[in-house]
Amino acid sequence: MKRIIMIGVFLLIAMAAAWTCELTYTITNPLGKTTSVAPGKPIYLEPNASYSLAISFYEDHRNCPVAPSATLFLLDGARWNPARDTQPLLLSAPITWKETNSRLNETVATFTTREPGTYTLEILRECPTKAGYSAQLIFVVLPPQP
Amino acid sequence: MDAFDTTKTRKTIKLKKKKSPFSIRWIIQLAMVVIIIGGASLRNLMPGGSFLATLFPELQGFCPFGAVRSITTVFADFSSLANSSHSNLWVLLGVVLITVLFGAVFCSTLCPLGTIQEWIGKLGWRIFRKRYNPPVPEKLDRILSSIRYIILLGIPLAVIGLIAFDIDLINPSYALTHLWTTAVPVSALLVLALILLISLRYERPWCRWFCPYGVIIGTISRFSFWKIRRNEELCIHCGRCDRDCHAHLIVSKTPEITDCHCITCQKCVNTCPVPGALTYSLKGKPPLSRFWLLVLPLIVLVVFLLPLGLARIAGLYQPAGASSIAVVANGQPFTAQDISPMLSLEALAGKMGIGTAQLYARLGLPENYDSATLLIDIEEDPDFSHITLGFIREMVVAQTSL
Repeated sequence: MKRIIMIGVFLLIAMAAAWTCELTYTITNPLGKTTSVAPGKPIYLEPNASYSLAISFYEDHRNCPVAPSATLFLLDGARWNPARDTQPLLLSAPITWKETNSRLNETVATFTTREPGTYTLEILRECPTKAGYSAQLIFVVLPPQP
Repeated sequence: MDAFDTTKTRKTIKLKKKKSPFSIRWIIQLAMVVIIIGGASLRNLMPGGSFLATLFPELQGFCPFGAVRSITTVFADFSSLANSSHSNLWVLLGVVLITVLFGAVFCSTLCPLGTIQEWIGKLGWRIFRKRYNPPVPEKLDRILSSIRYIILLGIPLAVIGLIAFDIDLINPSYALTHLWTTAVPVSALLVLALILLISLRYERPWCRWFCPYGVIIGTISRFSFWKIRRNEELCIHCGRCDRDCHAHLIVSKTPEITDCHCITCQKCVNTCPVPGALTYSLKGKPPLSRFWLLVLPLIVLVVFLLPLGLARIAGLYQPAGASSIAVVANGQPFTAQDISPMLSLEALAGKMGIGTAQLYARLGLPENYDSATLLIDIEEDPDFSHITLGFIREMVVAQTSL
């Protein structure tokens, strides 16, 4: 029985490991509350509010020669761009990366929500020799509370 | 021992030099070297999406440093995100599974760095003969062994950012699998060269003194079901097992081998002159038959690949370049993932099996539009800012589902 429990524990630890990766996302709401964002899981936002999406990109093996600055952010299939003032999540400034240490790069994207609806932010890293990275963050802007 | 007279056995046994039984371990070792090093080399040397490179699964968890890093990442951030294109965690699960069942067989059978050290060691044996792999003074052995614990502690500290040190600067496994790229630091190449050079004189120096993954595997293997067990009543204390152990473990005085330096290579079992005195077995059960010992490395490989295979079937692991969303364009297999933002218009037309003029008509682009333009760049043109990647994907999916 002791062994079966041990195996179970090891398997659970290893299984949990399957849900990790090199890019991590956290979002901070206007009140300063920070929440972790998981791709594919909806994050609920208030309308007409300002949020900060912090992204940290850890370079695992540096197999991909593409710089962090070449990471693509596509909001509903279009570049997430502060110049596109029609986008439902209005980006306040271009996304710029900061090299925190030799392997860790970080950025913060500040945006304002507008109309209620569900919007997908696709994060893509296209590497010439590798499959790269792809994740989708789902933002649900809730209707205003009466 | 009921129907077995120990005294008689001791007297009548002939202590012949035993010929090692045939094992397919070397075949599995060779296969893993080809898959890991060959696959990594192809991926690094050939252009992305090359068919030849896709034949080799990318088993990232084989890198000892990478594996420790993955474990740390899990503990540091449980809520971090899924990346189903990465296999390292499934590989890790496979390693845990085989270790719990069979002991540290990953090191002896699957690890390519271990295999290469073993092969160089065979060359070393031809050079040094009986002087090959001499015992290291205990104090020095202890100092050298502590290095792997320092590395084991250093990796998590580097992952969580407490120390600013790029661990790949000293990672021989990384150097081995990325030998053909310019990305490998010279220091890592030097560490690899040094390890291989020491392998000529000492058996598996990386495994014995430096491998942080070995510490984890060794610890788990203490709880393994199958172990090397010694029958005190049959053992004649000839010391052959001690002499043949690459790590100089005192096998002849231990009821079962639980030392974390044991890699379950079974050299001691094969060299033991007394049948049944030293066995690879379950506790209280008879030893494995010759057939099962023969096919054991294959079983190890199958069990090891099981989590990865199941994850693939369940869609939890997508190998590089694969996609679960498949559509068909003009009878040609075509996936949604193929509509990469970095595709040119010409390449997209080629993938769809239509001409550029036809594609332009569908997208509403003028005939003289540059076909080398990347899909992601079309929206940069103020006249075509509506032709975003999302628009193109919708068009392709709509067209192909007609």
